[in-house]
Amino acid sequence: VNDKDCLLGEKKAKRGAEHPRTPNQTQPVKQTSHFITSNINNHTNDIIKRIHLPIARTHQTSSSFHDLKRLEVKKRRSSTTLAMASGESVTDRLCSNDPTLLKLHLVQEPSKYFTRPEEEEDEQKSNGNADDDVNSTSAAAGADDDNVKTKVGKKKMISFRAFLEALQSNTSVTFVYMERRFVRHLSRAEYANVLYAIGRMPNVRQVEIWCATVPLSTLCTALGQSCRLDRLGLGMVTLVETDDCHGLAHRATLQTFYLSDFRFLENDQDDASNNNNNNKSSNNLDSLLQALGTCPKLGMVEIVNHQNDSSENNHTDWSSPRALAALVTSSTSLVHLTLRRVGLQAAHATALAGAIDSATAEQRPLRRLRVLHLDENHLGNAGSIAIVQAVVNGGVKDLSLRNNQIDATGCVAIADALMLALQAQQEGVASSSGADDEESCWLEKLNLAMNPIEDRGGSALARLLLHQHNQQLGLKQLELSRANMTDVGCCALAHAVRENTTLLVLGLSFNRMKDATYLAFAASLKVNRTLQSINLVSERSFIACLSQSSSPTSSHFSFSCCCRAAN
Amino acid sequence: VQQIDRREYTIAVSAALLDMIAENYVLRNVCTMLAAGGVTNPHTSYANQIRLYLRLNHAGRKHLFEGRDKDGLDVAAKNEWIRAIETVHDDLNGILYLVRANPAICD
Repeated sequence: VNDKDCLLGEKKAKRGAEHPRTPNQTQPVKQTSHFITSNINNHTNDIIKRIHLPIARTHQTSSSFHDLKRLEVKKRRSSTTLAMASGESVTDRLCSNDPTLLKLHLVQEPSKYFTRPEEEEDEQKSNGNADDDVNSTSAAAGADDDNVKTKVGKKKMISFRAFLEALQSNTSVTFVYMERRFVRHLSRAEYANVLYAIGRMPNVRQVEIWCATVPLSTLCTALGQSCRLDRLGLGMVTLVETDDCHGLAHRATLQTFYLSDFRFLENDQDDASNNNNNNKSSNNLDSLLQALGTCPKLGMVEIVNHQNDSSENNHTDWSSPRALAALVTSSTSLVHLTLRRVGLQAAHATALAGAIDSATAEQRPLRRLRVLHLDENHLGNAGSIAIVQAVVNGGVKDLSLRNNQIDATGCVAIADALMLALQAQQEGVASSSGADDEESCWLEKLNLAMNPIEDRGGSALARLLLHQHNQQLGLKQLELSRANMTDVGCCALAHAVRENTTLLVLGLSFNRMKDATYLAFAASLKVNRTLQSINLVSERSFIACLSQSSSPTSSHFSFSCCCRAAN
Repeated sequence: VQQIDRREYTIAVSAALLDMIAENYVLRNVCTMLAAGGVTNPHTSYANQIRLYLRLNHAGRKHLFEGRDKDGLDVAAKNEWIRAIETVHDDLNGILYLVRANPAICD
């Protein structure tokens, strides 16, 4: 429970007092908020547990209910993070090496955790009176909460240097989370010192930084010192100093890296003054990708963007095709690679495909890439076909090319490529696929949803399904939702499902299906004995509208509307 | 007219899907919009029956029904039938379906 929540509860209580609904409702709110504020300064889990009971017994007003819910949510997150909301408690527990402190959330202003050098002088001057102040707080707990909070805060503040030493010497924390509110008030030197201190923490395994500016070179150098770091995550970050990330190279323990919703900013520019300055810079992640590729245990890389309009972000140059290929080529441990909505072009896909397929017969058994998700990029037909041709020889089992502008021609080429590879595999002509002997090496999951493959593409995939009878060599999941197919393509798939013996999951939702598709699947699934899940959700009202107008323009328009409605 | 046609067709679809799922012991998940519309939807009863068969498939209908030897005797043990009944204990139709399929479990 942090002080802000507490004050919020108090404001609600005052508001409730000003506008009482019933006399019975206002009283418990006051009691609740007062009870929280009077006990908040103790900052211990035990106290908070005790707070729960009286509130739970009152349960009359919506305000007290929300206070209770907020408390419970915070408690559920982690018993260790519960006390993180107050900086004083964090520093105390850091300094005392509290073994229950596993997750360190630095989410408040730095002044909540330590005092700056200039503030230390003031504190030293007033240090003589500190003891008297503290003694007076307990007596005045219910009288003036703000005053109490300040006095207690002064008592428990430590210097920045002591804070860094506490960080470095702590042996219990395994997870460090930093957020904008903490980072933005640090000077560049202080920020670097904090990162270096985190890098020296002996047991830290996971580091996450969200909603902040991240000097990538400093971060990599700092965390390069860590001896146990296995997961590094950055989210909604502005990246600076991206030119040298070799500090992270050859990290023996790093297993997972993810980067979500990032942008670049020129060095030496203030974040606040560049909110609208998204111009492309020379910044990119080439150095980082090269460094990651050298990490011997790196198994998962996720670089994603969740924002709807990627054109407003400078993502197109975030990585050169060569650097992306180097990540795959140099890493022998990479299992899962996700690059979603990051503006990949056909050139990236071609380079990536070359890297996947470039392994020699000796190298292939060392390759571990099994999951490749390239959703919502701009690969087009050429890039997608290159990827598919590479993955069927590269041992990839799960390929997602959702929303990559693959049309009917591209889908036919993809199906043909898969068919050729399948025949080659079945005849034993193809060279070793790079997978272990014990496990299947054939593509098992294929996601082509939100690509306008139309009926021609659907029919081509149906032909592919017809040829898959071997349980070891065949698609097990096929996702074709919102693929702009009509009954022609869907019925072709239905007839293929009748003969197919490998497919377990089929998704055809939000295609332009009429009853012929349903009837065809009903007939086919009387015979099929392998399919376990099928999605035939269709917007029926859309079909009724479509039957009134058969022009291509209106058809396309209705389909778009359907997709938007589904979204 | 459009609405009437659509409903007639959809009832045929519902009936076809119901026939299919009655014979298919493997399907566990079928997503359609047939049940949308609440109790006034004429397809609700179909949807409920389809849902029942899917539950039975989850409960291992394939093992119970296809696990019979040449003489028609059940390979599945009696307790497996009882366990299947337990999984659909809140649906009288489900219990009736299983008991009619193997009355010996009442012995």
